[in-house]
Amino acid sequence: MSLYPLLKAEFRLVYGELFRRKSAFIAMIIYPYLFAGFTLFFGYTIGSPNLFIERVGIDPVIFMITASYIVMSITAVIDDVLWRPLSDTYIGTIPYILASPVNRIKLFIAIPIPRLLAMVSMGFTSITPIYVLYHGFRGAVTALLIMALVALGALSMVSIAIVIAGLVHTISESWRILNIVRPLMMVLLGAYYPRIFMPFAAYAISFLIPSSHIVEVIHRLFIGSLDGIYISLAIAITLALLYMPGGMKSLMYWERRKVAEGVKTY
Amino acid sequence: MLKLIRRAYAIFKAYALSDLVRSKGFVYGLISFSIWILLFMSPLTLFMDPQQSPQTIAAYSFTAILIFMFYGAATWDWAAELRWMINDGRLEYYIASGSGFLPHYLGILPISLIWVFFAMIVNYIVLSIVWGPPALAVIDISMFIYGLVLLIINLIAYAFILGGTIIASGVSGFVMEIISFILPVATGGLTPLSKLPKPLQTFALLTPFSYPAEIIRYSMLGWLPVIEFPQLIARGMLFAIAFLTISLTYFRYQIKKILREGTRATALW
Repeated sequence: MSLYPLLKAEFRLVYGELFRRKSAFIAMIIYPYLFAGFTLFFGYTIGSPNLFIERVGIDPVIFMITASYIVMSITAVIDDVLWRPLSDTYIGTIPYILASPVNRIKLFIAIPIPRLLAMVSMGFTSITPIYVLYHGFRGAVTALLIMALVALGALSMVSIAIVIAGLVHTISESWRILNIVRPLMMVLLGAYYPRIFMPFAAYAISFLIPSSHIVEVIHRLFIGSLDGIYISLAIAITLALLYMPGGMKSLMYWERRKVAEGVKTY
Repeated sequence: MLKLIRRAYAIFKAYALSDLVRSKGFVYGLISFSIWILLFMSPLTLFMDPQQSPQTIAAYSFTAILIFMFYGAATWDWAAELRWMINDGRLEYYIASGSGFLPHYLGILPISLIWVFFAMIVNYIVLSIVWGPPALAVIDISMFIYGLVLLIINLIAYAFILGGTIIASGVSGFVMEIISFILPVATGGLTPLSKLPKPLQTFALLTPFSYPAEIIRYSMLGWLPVIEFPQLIARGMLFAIAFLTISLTYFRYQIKKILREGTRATALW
């Protein structure tokens, strides 16, 4: 089976739900502002924006709205991959998925694409208005560039998410583990707290996450330090590709375990 | 009365066994919580003046998270419990049993408080790692207890409003999440009112939530509230009682309504 029918099915599933459930749709628009507002509110209360600019080199408003947009987009993608096996278990479709002749890796690549597109498009409602407010037309162009980079960053997370999904779902109470893995990945992405400020151990682990390199590229674009950004992009893409065979093995391992143990029903 | 206590104890035992003893979720939840704190707290260090005492900042964050955790308990443990009841089909049984919701909530209340207690220990450890041990000192114990009582009354009232709305309309989890984020910020739950812009400060003072928050902040951090103490104490209690009365009436009305019309279906998230 080619990727196209899988993508078509996933698009129908995700967009059908998105437009049917208006509250979830509105929440998607509000969330980047909510997270950015939360951190800015606290930051301004305990300190000063000037100190932030001195340290990071970026206006905190621009930084936080971008960080929130990045985190939301990347979370949406990894969430789709990480939670789908659980969701299929809850709604009782997992036996059909396991019995179907669908290529698993193609399926898991197709799963996050529709939401990724929706989330990246949310850049028009989150970062674009703020950038335009600060930088006018140049801001709109920057927003488009950031959206493209975030799309690449989110895509680069698919393979590592598949590796984690396969491994985690062989363990019981996997959703609880996922609730630890998700925020941990968000911390290590360096979107809210740039990698350069992290302790060495955290930096080293962060280096293994493909999209953390894209996040660094985004930060560098803002500070105007463009040296080595192509190397960062190349590392991100290389890491994403390197995780793919691991992802295939991980999915096969999960599937074998499920077939051997039987599927739990709720 | 004895029946009520027995029922509440049965609920407490069932939830304690499933949530605290049998399930590892308690531990996982606390680890997850500590990482989320790290995610949102670490960038705040970038705003800080190097001259500022990190331990004072840690204490300020500790208090804000404490208040936020109580809001979380009211939203996700108390109000959302009704959502789970609808999803599991338990709500109808509760109504039909004639025992009301009181024993159920008396049973789960200690679980929420135990959870908040452990979460605050985790919070303390994480903040100690990020900034050093929070410089906490309860400078006025009676005011602290008074503030905590007011906070709990307000949050019970808030849970009634949210719970009533859930059973009446099947509010989605997203909406609840947004409310639980915005409410503590907009009503001065997380930040001293003196640091809020004037319009937001006025708005916060028109809500019952700002008073316990100001009292708790004063008693734990020594930050002076924006209004005089006698006014703060009296208005705080008045607002809390009025809020509780209104919310209880609203909740009862919604219960009567679903008895006539049936419960709404809730979405998964």
